Amino acid sequence: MNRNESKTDDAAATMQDQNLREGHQMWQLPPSCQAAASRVVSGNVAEAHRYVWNSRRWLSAAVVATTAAAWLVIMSWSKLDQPEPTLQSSVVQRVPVEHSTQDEAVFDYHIPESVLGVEGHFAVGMRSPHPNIEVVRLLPLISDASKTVAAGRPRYIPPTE
Amino acid sequence: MSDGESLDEADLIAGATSVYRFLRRWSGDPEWAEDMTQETIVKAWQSRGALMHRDRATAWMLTIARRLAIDDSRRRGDRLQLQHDSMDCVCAAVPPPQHDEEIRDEVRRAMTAMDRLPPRQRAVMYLTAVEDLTPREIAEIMDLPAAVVRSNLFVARARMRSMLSNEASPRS
Repeated sequence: MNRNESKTDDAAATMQDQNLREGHQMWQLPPSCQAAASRVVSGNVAEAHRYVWNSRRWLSAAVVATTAAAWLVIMSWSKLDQPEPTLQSSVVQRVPVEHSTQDEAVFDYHIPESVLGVEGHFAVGMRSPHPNIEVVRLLPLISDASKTVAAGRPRYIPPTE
Repeated sequence: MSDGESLDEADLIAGATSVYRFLRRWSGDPEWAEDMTQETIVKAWQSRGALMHRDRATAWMLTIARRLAIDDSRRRGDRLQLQHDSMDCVCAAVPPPQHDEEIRDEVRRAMTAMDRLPPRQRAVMYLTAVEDLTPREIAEIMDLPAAVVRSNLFVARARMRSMLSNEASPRS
C-alpha cells in the first residue's frame, strides 16, 4: 500500500468513525439510569440498588395492578347496571345449557328471525377466570353459520343457578 | 494510587451513557440495556475503590457492564451477542431531521455496514469509533489480547470500507 492509499484509507476511517459517532448520539441515557447515578452518589447504595433495579418492575407491577383495578371497577359497574348482552335480551332468551361446567358456562340463545334474518339457536360459551365474567365465543348451532352474531365485549353474566 | 473515591456523579453518568449505548448496540434490547446499565452504575459505585485512574472510568464501567451482561445472559440461559438484525436500532439512531439529508444517509449506511460485521468485529469497531477507546482499553473490556483487538479492528475497517464502496458503486 503506497502513501496515498494509506492517507485515503485513514480519511475513510475517520469519516466512518464520525458517522458512527453521530449515529449513536441519539441514544441518550434513560432517566431511570440518571436517577440511579444520583441515588448511589447521594445516598444509601443498598436503598438505591433496590430502587433503581426495581423501579421498572414496580412500574410494571403498578400497570398490572391498575389494569386489574380498572377491570374490577368495570365489573362492579357491570354488576350494578346488569348490561344487556350484545343481542338485546328482549329478543334473546338465554337459557343455561345442561353441559355447563365450572370453567365454561354454555348458554343457549334463541334468536328470532328479525335479528339475523334467520331464526335459530346459538350456543354461547363463556370461559373466564371468574364465573360471572363472560368472554364471548359464539358457536352457531344452526345451519347458517355465516349469520353468527359478532362476538362482543366481555360482560357480566349473573349466576346461573 | 486509586482515586476512585473521587468518582462523582458526572463520571458515573458519562460512563453510564457509554455503557447504555454499548449494551443497546450489543443486545438490540433497550429495556435490557437500561436494566444492565443501572446494575453497572451500582456495581461501579460499590467498587469505585478499585478504579485506578479516574479518566478511565468509562472503560472501567464498560468492563463491569460486559461482565454483568454475560452473567445475566448465562443466568437467563441465552448467549449474548450483537444482534445481526438490528435495523430498528439503526433507524432509531439516525440523526434528527435538522441534519442534512446527505449526512443522514451516510450515517445510516455506516450504521448498517457496522451491523453487518461479525459480533466481535462489530464490538471492536463500535468501541473504537463511538467510544474512542484505545485497543488496549478495548482488550480489557472484551477480555482479549490487544493484538486480537487490533487485527479485528483492521479487518472490520476493511470490511466496512468494502461494503460502503460496493454500495456506492452502483449509484455512481
